[in-house]
Amino acid sequence: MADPEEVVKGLEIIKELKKGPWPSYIGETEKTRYPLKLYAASLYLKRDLWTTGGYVSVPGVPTGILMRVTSRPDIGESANVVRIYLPSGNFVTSKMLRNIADFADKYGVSMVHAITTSEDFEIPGIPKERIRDFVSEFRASGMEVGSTGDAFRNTTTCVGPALCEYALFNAPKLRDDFYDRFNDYAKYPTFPHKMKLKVSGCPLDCARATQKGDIAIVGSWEGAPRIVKEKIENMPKERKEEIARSCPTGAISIRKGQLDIDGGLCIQCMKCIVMSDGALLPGERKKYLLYVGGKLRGKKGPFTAKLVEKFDDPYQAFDLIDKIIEVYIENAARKERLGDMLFRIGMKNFLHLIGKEERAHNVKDLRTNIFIKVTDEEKEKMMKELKKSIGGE
Amino acid sequence: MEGPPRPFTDYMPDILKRNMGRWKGHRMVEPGIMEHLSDSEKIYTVRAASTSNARYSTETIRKFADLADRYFGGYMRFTGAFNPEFFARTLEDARRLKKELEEMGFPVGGWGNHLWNITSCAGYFHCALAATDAPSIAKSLGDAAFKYFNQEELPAKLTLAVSGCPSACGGGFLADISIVGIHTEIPIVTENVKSCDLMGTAMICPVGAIQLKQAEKTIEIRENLCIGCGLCVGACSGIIFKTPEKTDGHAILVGGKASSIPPGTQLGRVVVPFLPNDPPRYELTVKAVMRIIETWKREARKGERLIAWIERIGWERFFEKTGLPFYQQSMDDLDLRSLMLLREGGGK
Repeated sequence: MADPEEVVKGLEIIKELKKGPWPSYIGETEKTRYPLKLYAASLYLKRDLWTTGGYVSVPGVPTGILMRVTSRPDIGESANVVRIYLPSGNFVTSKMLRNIADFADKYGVSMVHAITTSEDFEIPGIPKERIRDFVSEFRASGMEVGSTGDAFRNTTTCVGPALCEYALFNAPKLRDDFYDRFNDYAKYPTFPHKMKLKVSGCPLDCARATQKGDIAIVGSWEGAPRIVKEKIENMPKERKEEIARSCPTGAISIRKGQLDIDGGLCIQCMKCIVMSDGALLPGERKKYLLYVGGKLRGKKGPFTAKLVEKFDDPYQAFDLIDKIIEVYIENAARKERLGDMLFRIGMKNFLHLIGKEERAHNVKDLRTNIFIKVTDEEKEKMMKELKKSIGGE
Repeated sequence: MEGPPRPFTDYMPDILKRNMGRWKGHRMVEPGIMEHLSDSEKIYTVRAASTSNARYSTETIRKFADLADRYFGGYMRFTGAFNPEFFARTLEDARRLKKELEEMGFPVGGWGNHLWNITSCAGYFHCALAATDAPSIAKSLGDAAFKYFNQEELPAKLTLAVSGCPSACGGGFLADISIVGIHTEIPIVTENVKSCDLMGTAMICPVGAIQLKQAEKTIEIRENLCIGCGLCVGACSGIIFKTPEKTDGHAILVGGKASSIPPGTQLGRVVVPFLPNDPPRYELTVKAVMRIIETWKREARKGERLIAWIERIGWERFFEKTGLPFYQQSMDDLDLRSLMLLREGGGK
């Protein structure tokens, strides 16, 4: 049977996308059994030809497997997508890659989605009736599926101390330990909506934790960056001046030809460290920052995460995460991300719910409206605090 | 074992295990090739561009595995920005690896003051929610901005991301320049709505525009409240966009970044609110993005990320210098907080 017009015209359109220096996904797709005609037709028609999917229930995978349903079975079949966990830091071995390729050949359409934005792998194109076999055989090969449903999605980390001198703690190890403790929350869909923990080893935040993490742990420190003596001594004078000038808070000055950093002014932004070729490194008094409420999707659009607490040990964050989960399950409406809930109830109420007092590090800015409600009791407490701080009875 | 394969150190080459926490510095040798130094050892990493939607044939995945075997005992990794990243023992090896990757069609580049990579979601390729086809836009942008990936230098790091809908799975909002698909029509309710979880669908609406009609087993969308986010269309097959080919398109956002370096973590801001879907090459979209990149390249100071430059000169001059028109839709008039207070009866 001849292809319908939209397929013929669509295939012409996608030919153009094989040209050019950037790696072509069309070229790759042609080497697979993916229904390229369906995709080609959607480009010609300018409308998505997949329809609302949902999840396939599979015994042993309580969070489900992603379903993809075609609206044009005549030109492309429905298929499902299995999401695969990678080791922390996204380290893979050739053995693992070949194993995944074997499964994609046997069960899928010989295509691998080698790495998603949430840093999993996916094998697309697995028919519904074969998912059960896939999952049991895949697990027997030492790998695990998951990261779907209203549960903890994949926790991503930066590469950490495995390949980076900035890392303030072993972020990939923390991910391993997180799954030792919290895997049930990743396996069973017990949350109002999905939840993501992201972990970055330093404030440069390569894991994009503060943009994407419902909960984020970011390594930081207090005071000035560490100066590596033997390296700073060989640094040309102009370079030092450039670094001093670049500091956004003016914490760096040059004294007797050497860099002098005022730890009291440092905001740990890492700008000087990035410019210093290893002569400056993150400071020794380590702190670990826990943020909440970052997300891209969700009811109220994207939010960056807000700082909740600073810890001396990253593992102290785990107990607070337990508490946050409890508060989230109890207080969020259905399909409400933590960030949306925070927006609805306000940071102040959230902090009280997780048993924290509000402090100045919790805010980026202060209120400008003056319609403040204060009870007599609160007034008395406020005056007491003020007198205690600045004196005056 | 349940959960991800672990410990992760089992999947790491010995040199990384030995030097865990002992790295002293790194430098970019050339775009895409990085040298990492510890006290006594060094390692090179070689980073390639990904296909725009990060889909590969199993044939290519096996070739990656072969490269990893030949150059580093079978070890490699993938970055969060989709790049396949290989290891090499010497600079000569790294350059040989680069050559092999480029012969396979995967140019090596990124890092430093270059375009790092382009991330994209599935778009029409494998998702039901797409308002625009992210992979083809990403490919077109990659071809147009290719010289910044491994040749010409920019003022600072540049990331690009394309997402097919406001869910932003492809990283829309995050990147220095992001493209995000948008719907501009109000969805309609069809007969199929009876098969949906009505309460769940009503609750997913961010602005309370869905009214539940329990008795008639249907819902009604209040047009004056609907913001066209598409969340209900994703949740219920009985709600559809009627003419997406005419009304769907995408917006250009600028200024997203994650790092702490001032101005800190930022999300993208809408500078071009709507562009039509125009596959395969999206000429107008690509032209607008290239105009932003080129203006930034010409005007910014060294080390100044796109949003840092814009914050320094102000938005008025951003529009002046890029020549992009300022659209009223770039002004934020969607005050969600007030809407919420109205709906939920005020707050403290």
